[in-house]
Amino acid sequence: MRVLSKGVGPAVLFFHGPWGLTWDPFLDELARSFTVHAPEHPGTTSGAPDEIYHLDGLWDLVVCYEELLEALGVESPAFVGHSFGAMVACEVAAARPDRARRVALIDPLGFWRDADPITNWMLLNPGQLPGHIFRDPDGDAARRMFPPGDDEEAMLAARVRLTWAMGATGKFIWPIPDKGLKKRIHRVKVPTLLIWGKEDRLVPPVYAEEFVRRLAGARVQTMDDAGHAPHLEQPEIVARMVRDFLSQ
Amino acid sequence: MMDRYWEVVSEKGREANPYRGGFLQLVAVSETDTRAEDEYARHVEYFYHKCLHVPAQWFSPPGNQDYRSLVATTSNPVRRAENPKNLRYRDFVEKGYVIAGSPATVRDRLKEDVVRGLRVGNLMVLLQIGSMPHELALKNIDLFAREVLPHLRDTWDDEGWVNHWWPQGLRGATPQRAAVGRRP
Repeated sequence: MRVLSKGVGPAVLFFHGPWGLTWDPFLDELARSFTVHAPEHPGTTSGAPDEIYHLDGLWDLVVCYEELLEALGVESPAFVGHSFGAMVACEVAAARPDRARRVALIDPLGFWRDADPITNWMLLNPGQLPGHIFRDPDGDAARRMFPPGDDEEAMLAARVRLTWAMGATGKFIWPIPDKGLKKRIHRVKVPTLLIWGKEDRLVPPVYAEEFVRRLAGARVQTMDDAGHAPHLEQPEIVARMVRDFLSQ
Repeated sequence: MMDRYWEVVSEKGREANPYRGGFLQLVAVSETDTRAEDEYARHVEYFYHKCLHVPAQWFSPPGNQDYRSLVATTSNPVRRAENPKNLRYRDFVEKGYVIAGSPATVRDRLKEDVVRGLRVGNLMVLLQIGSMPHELALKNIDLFAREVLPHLRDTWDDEGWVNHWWPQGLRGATPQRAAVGRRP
């Protein structure tokens, strides 16, 4: 498992979302105050796509992260996760409550409500995906994830990378993005911060209620001008929220 | 497409047994070529004009392909040289999208262009096409089974190939009775 690490200070473990890891301005901001360890979800590392076949299910993934904590030699880092990664962060924290010092979740997955269905981002028309992840599908953050069509080589490479990352992560989510976290999340006792883009078009912000109901120490901050990836569209503000929370 | 397949078979040092290959072909048989056009044209056009739309997100949803296939299809997508929506029945017949006409026309073209041309031992035929109604589909199946199929079955016999991929009990059991039976 490849891990990108940067920064000084207390340890933070960052769990990326369904579109793979890119070292972005948000992580740079965090790295000014923390030692950020950002693992690449198995299969999403460039040159090692078949690593995903080592894991058959969610339990394999949780155990994989527990072993990673051992390998990194960090006792109880703060967990920060986005989307799918936030769900995984909850699962690891629920399995090993002693290993997470604090937990920050950005537009997390993990629950399902029939009345507020989560959009299946894996089955959107490719042209619709940026508008579902980002509040502004033409903004800089969206263009970093989806290179515009005038550079065909970069566009095709990005399409392969994103499609493969969605498959490698989607393996642990679909057919319904609820794998029973509601039965385990009560084991997480540490303070938890939820950050949610007000204009999240994939996982509606009402899902914050599901987390708050089950996490005694949870508090929610919603973000203006942000969709499903507020840390990419508003990196400085989200980094400040996370930093303030983790420094308390 | 099949040429490349047989190249690979040869490169791998395998015998060129035609029963390694299979091909799906749309077929429409009637009493005469003219009659085939009268009966089948609108159903063939319906199929190629209306039934082949696949939304972009269904071409390759995540998890559908292994990594090498994903890279290959993304960098080298299947692009049709022509849009079938611009073609009519006679174009489809001429270009071989569908092999249609009298029994003689159909068996000659199938034998030369498809079975021998592509070297396929396993010919799959699609006989219900597009909006074709039940009775017409039955007629197509019946004419194909009686007037065309018996003339194709022995195509590879003179070369002595064995179809190792077919259940042993059925090999060589050419159902001649169906070919000589009377049409109900």
